[in-house]
Amino acid sequence: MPIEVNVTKKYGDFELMIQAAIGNGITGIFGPSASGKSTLLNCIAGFEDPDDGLITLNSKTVFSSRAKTNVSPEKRRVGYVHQHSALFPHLTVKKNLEFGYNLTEKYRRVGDLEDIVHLLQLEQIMDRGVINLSGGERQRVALARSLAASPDLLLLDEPLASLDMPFRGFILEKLREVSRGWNLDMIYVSHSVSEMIALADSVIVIRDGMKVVEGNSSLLLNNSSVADYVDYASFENILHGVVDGSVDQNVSTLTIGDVKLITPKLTSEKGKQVTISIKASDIIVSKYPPVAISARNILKVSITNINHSENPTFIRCETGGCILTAALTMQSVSDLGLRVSDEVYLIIKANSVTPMELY
Amino acid sequence: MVDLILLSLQVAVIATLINIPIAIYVGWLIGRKNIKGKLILETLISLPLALPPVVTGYFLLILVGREAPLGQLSRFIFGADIVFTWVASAIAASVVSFPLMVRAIIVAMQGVDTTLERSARSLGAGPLRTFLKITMPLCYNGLVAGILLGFVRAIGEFGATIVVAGNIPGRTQTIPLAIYSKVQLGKDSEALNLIFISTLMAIMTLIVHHWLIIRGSKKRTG
Repeated sequence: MPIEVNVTKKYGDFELMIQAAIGNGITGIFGPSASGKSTLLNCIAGFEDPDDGLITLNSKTVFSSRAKTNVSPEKRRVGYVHQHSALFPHLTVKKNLEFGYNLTEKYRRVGDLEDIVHLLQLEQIMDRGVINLSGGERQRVALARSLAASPDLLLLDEPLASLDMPFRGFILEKLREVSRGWNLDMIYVSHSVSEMIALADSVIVIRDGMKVVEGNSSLLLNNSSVADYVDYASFENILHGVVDGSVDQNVSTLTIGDVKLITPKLTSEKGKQVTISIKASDIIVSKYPPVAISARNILKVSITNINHSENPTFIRCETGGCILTAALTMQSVSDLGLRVSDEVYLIIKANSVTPMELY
Repeated sequence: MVDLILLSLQVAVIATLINIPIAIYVGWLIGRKNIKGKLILETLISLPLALPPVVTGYFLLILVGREAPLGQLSRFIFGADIVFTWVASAIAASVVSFPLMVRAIIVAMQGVDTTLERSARSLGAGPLRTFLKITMPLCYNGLVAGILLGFVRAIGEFGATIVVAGNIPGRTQTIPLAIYSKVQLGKDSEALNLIFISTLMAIMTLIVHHWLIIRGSKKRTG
């Protein structure tokens, strides 16, 4: 749903001053700590009142300082998933999920509680208290609880920040699934460029309370306004594929678009969705087809983008519906004379592919 | 003896019941809201804790005495005085025990994570439902502690009570006042009996307190 935000809010020396039109799909909000990301989410959710301005959700005004409109949070139909899940500690998993579900009118419910429980694989822990759940379980419950209230918009504030790799993969996969399957729009706040590129359709970069730049999420890899605080060295390609089968007891194959990738042994069965991650710095680029090489994956790709300005230099490549970004030094790029639309070979060891499987 | 115990319980229970809703409201105001004059309110509600109870009793006498506005109002409505009745005892016990109850509740309310309340709101719960279903259960321990602390203080109240309600056997004499009278009259064995009952009641209240806390935490961890 279209969201229009035009607000100012002052806290001591800090001032949030944002004007943004947020479209459909998953919109990422990216920025350094204390740039105003959470304040922006809180204003949209109705937890904090802007000093001045206007917020409309789906053309409905929920806040207007001029018209003195301020719709209370429970009437905005905006879900909120916090970094630390914020589960109700005095209730079981089931009661946590039922809290919002039972408050939602039947005709508004997008899914049955059972479907949501199944989607996030919570069947086994429904009767447990939430205090002793692991971080990954807590975040799955938090997401399920928000979905159970059938929101029109879902706000996610660093939901994966404190999770291990497999849980991150699982939640990312489910967020994509829900966003498309339920047609649920999301605003996703994160520090991670990898997550943003894997998940967000578009991104808004904010800094010191102001919007700096907006556009396709891949801009995060080649925009100077974010370069000084992004940890490019840890950038990883997060990809979703389908298990193709096992080659032997140590390796499996995964299909991503038209590409078949050899990976370490996957525990998921054939045909199941799996999320994997490949560090951009683990990918080797060759101009000619390598021969007699131990690496299991050699992909012929074409370069769609080169970011010359930063170190490392990111080379964005595409083949058969699979987009991969490799991180090279500037020297390698110039020595190889790489240019956009060149055809090159990406060399990826099977062990450089990290499965983000839940079980 | 039974009448004495019943009257003491009646005074303490009524005082506690009057205090609970007020203490929860004031606890919420101070613990959760950004209101103006918070410091003044906090000072005012804690004043009976800092004042000698006899002084509190004297202030109450000014408020509810025969010629005082509240005293006259009571005579107009009920045709009876407040001073030197069990109602005055209950008022004295209520005022003196209020700070203990409310302070425990304030601390409990301040300890509730606001993101939990915000989550409840974003899941569709209004402010009242959020308060009843989230804030209150999460304050459970502090609430129980505050109520029972208030109750034990009310049942032991002496100084303010003797000023505003007197020490009339069968009418306003509660256990502490009776113990005082017995000791004054040299009836040590009767005083000892009452001291024993008083100690027993204190122990039982503390046991109930622990039981409620344990029961609450068992329920929570499921």
